[in-house]
Amino acid sequence: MMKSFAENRELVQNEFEEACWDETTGLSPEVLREKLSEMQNNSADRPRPLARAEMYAWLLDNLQLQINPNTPFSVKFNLGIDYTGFASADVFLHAVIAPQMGKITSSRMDPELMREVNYKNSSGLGIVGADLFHTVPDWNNIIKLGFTGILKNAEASRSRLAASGGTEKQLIFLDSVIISFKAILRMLERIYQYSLKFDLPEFSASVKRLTEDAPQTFYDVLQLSVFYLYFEEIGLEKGRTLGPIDALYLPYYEADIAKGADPEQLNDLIRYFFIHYTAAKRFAAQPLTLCGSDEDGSDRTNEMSHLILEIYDELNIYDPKIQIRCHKNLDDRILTKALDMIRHGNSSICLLNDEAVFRGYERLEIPRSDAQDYVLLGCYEPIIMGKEEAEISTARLNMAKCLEFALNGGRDMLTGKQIFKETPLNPQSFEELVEIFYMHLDDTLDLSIRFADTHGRYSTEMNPSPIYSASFTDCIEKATDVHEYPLPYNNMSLKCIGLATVVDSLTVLKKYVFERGELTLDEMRKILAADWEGYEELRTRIIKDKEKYGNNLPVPDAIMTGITKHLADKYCGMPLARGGKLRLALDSIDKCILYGKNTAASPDGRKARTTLSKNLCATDGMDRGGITAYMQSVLKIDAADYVNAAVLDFVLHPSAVEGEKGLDDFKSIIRIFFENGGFAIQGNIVSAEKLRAAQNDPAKYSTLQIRVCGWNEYFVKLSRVKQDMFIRQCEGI
Amino acid sequence: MIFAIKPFEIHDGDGIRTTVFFKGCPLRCRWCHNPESFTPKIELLYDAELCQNCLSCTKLCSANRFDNCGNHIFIREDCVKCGKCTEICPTDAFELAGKECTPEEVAEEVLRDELFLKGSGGGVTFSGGEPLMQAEFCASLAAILKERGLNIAVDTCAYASRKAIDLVAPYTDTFLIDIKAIDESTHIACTGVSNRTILDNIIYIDSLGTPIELRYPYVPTMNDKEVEAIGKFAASLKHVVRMRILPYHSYADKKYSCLGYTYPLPDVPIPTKAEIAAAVDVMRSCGVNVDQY
Repeated sequence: MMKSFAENRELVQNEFEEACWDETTGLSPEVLREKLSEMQNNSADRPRPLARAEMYAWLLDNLQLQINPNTPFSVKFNLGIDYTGFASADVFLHAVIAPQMGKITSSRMDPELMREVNYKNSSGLGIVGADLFHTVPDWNNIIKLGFTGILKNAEASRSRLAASGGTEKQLIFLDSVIISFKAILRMLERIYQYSLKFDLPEFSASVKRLTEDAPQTFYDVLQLSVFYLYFEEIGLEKGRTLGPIDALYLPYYEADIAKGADPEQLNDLIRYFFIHYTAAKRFAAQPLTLCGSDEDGSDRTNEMSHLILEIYDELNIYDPKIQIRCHKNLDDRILTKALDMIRHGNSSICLLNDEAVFRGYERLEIPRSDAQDYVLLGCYEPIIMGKEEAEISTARLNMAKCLEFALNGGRDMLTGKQIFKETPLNPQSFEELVEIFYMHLDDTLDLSIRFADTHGRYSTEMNPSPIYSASFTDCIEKATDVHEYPLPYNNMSLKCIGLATVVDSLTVLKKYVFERGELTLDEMRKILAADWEGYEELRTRIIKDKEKYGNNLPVPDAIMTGITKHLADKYCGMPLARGGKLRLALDSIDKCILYGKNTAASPDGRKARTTLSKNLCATDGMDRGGITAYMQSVLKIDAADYVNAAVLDFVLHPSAVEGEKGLDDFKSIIRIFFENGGFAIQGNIVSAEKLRAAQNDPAKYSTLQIRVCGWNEYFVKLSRVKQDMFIRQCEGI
Repeated sequence: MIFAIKPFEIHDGDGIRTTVFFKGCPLRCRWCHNPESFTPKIELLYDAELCQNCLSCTKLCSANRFDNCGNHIFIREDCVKCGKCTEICPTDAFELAGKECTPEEVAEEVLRDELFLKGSGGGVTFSGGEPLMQAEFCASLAAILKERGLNIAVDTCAYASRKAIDLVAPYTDTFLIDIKAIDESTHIACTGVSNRTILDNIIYIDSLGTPIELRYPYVPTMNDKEVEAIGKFAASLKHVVRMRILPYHSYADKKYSCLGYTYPLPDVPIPTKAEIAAAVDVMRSCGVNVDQY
């Protein structure tokens, strides 16, 4: 008999770090990798989906297992992942996917395009290819069908197509699904047999049921979710979100209760389920979505939504992470609970505004009847589960680097290399300078989109995704891998990074160069080349100048809306050569640090190689007008143009939201932000003093979590650079 | 003369508010946490702990000089409050308190947050300092804001002329009134002035029918024996919607040194939760609706 969750928690939450693999159950990761590499090297003549499915099946047949009898989600697989940090580096990636991606990129991509991208990327532009790693399977289908149902549907589709003249490519795809799912069922049988060594009758019975049928109980559904993500992850298909789990799981929970199950035992299952993801340490955490509105505006909140928040709050964890779809009819108890959690430091929560998301989808000509089923994947990017492929992190744009090109005639200031076409060094007006900046934005974007669009066409050759694809009815019926665009909406996304850095820099140039004539552009270039050394007084004056984005001020906000409108007019919903449309985002995730390292000093006083502004936030410490002014600056962006993410990160001092009135006022600002078109919001309620104390005494503050971007981390485990960034954000609030 | 306009204030009235801090106060409460509000003149705050000795300010004026070791020193007597040092100091060691402005300018600043002030059921609060010392300005500003439909609260010590009250009261939705002591000698010891005018004015304001929130700053050794008397006084009024007990804190001591003042209450203990709870009980026993921060 398994002990209660409270007794077992300590044993379970570090189980991945402390895993003891049973070597009799399979081969070590080193041997697996060696053998898979050999298979990969010999796979050139085999159709890629089949070769990949066979390698995947072989891997499943030979993976080492571990059963942890202290949790109902007992099984783990030895993929050679280092769980002491962010889980990374596994067998299939290194042996199969990475070599295949390299091979396809070098052999199939246009060499001239590759040369151009490589040359321009040498300046730190950060142009990237397809995003294969943010995916959302169709959880409705998965739970309805189970592994066996999906397999049966694939076999039926194959028989039908074989009899009615399906193409070879279609049959190959279905064969790859059948091979993969048969391997999964063999693995489940293996787990079942292995589990009999332990006294885990409920676990064994649940696994057995999943080898035979769709899930029958609440426990089966949770177990299936864990397994599905495992089996995606093993093949590097990287299913991210758990989906709208309140809607998905409630019927099974209620059915169990109706049959006499003990609610507290079911709640313990939820606790174990959450702690499983806490322990698994997937990069940037495993998201789940709650609540939302139907097309008619009615609230989808149910008893499971409340229960999940209650249990999550009690556990004080940050992985999985919670995304709540808010709307005007949202049950007030949900927002109250979520904000109360955030103000107490349990802040792994992002709040999304349904209305803004729906408007964004309308701009892509996607009707509300489809958009209403969006979930969040990754950090805060919407995707219509079952109907959309969105490649949320494909193309990226370092806007601060584009401004650097604009100020330097198309040259990289750090290397002196001419990266883009030569542009005038001394425009006669601020407006002319802005036009040059837009020209470099467009050149960079056009290249980034062209590259990602082309790269995306080879996704199936790089990593065909049978497990992910098989969750979609469209993929099975059309016998097509999801990367071949069988879904109704096949979009691609672009992240525009460094907004405030660019806006503040242009504001400075407008005021100090073009209006006051305090210095010339040549002098500014000299200052930036010197990384502000010797110009400290001017730098101080510029940093202290209150005219910055994020303060609801006319000049910087007009520059900001000019940029965001320029991008939107030209790129929002842009048709892609391979089909689908472009979705825009103003989030940076943590790339603001990486891209900053390759970006020269900027006119806003930022030093070379330091971080760019994050998401659509004000530059750290520059939103001196308080959160209401900051929100009003952000509200000037038409969020519907940026459906792939336009999240506002806030930092508030605990005293600003304390007590009953503080919570009411906290709710008011969120409500007003959303009523006026705000897209999403997340943040930290913490003081600079507390963060400094944690920096000085990490042991005492080991559980202090902080919202990093679209996920949380323990503050004391962040790098010093990130810690200092958060302290700067908290100063002056 | 205004010394600050702070958005997203939640402690000075209903909803989200913008608080306008007026400079100049007739009282000298010994625990005052806004000493920059005392005089109706521009003042410079200098925080020596923040100075990194970059010496940028020494090029600006004779008030910022070198000592014999080449380190920065600030000579307050020589300061003409031009504020140039506040623009150049990289660590914000200097801060100018006080600005002459028109009611229209203040209104424009306040209305920048109109969306949140109205949307949250909040509004604007006049605080200080003592806003009724600038009653005509207050009334002009209030008229503009009232025209825009904003809720107006006036945070006052009630040490003002009837004329001042009559100017401002028509625009005021709530009076937030500090009450420090009923005993006159205690009040003089705490604030430097008698409380007769104050108590009379509170009764007068009550007679106008405007809702009143009374605020009792609970300061151990200074006015902590006044709980029951204040409770009874509050209970005798008709329009007191709430009494708030504000426990003493010493967070403002640094501001005094930054202004070149000596902190007047160095050794007063911070009240315990039990002391505050006891005060709340006494107030409630008097029949007062009481809350605390």
